[in-house]
Amino acid sequence: MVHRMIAGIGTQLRKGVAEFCVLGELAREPMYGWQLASKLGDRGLVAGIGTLYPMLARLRADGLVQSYVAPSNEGPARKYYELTAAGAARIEEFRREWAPFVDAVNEAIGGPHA
Amino acid sequence: MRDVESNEPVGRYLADLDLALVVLPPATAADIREGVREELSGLDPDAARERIAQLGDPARIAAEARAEVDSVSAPRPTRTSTWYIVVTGVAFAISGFVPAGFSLLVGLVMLWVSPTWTRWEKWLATLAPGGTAVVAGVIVAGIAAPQAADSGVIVSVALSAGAVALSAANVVIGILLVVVGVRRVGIAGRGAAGAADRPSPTEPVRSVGQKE
Repeated sequence: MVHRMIAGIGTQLRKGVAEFCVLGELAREPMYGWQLASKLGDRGLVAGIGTLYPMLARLRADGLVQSYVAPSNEGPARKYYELTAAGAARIEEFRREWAPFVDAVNEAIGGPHA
Repeated sequence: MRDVESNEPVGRYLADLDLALVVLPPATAADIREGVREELSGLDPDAARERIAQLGDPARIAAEARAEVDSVSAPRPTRTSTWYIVVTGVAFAISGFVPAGFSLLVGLVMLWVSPTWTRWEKWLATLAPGGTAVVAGVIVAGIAAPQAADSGVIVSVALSAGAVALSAANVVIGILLVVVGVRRVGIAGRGAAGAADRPSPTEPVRSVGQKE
């Protein structure tokens, strides 16, 4: 897992969107903790399991994610996380919001992307 | 799953992790511990060592989790606030020096209605001082019996010993309650007990590929 903890700006940006990134990954397929932490860690979106598990707990408390236990491909039983219907709706809402938001920020900050 | 813990580096890592996670709300700590245990189970020693290296220092994991939990939670419920913890501890500690047992009663009520301490800790704080007093009284009675002129002396000496032991034990318990409580919920206003800790619904067990 790549730990790319860029302090300051990166951290602030991540805080706003990290939970939606979790929802986005789970929208593709249910995953177990380590798998999710690896994927998001490789993208530099979470530092590791220390950040991920509290996020998952919040998402479960909010009814966006649920978990179940199932045998994994390698054999031992694992706890898998998946989106609930509410979670699927929420990530869809976020996708609709995100693109215009990125455009608006790009215009505001100027530079080569504007 | 015994094979996980019997694997030595894994057992050690999990033990270190448990120690580091003690500062977190119990539910968060349990989630992390279970996730790590699950990840390390079924691996041979070399793979386990590699995975442990990838996981990294338990203190760092706990610090990340703490930062994550604190950054989002609502202001701490009153019964887990620092002043509440301190008042509870003080109520126990001074109970031997304040007449009529009022302080101890206040301490016990505050202790039991607060989610700061675990059930086990609450029972310990409630029963240990009394138990200590009884033990002290019995020991002193045993020492005094062969030498005392009459049983009245034995009883009064035993009662005095018991009372002293009770006061001392309550001082210790009061201090411990404050130390454990503050460590658990932190000193800063934003803590995690309550807000992030809702229990998860029971998880159904399913076979691969089959969902309800």
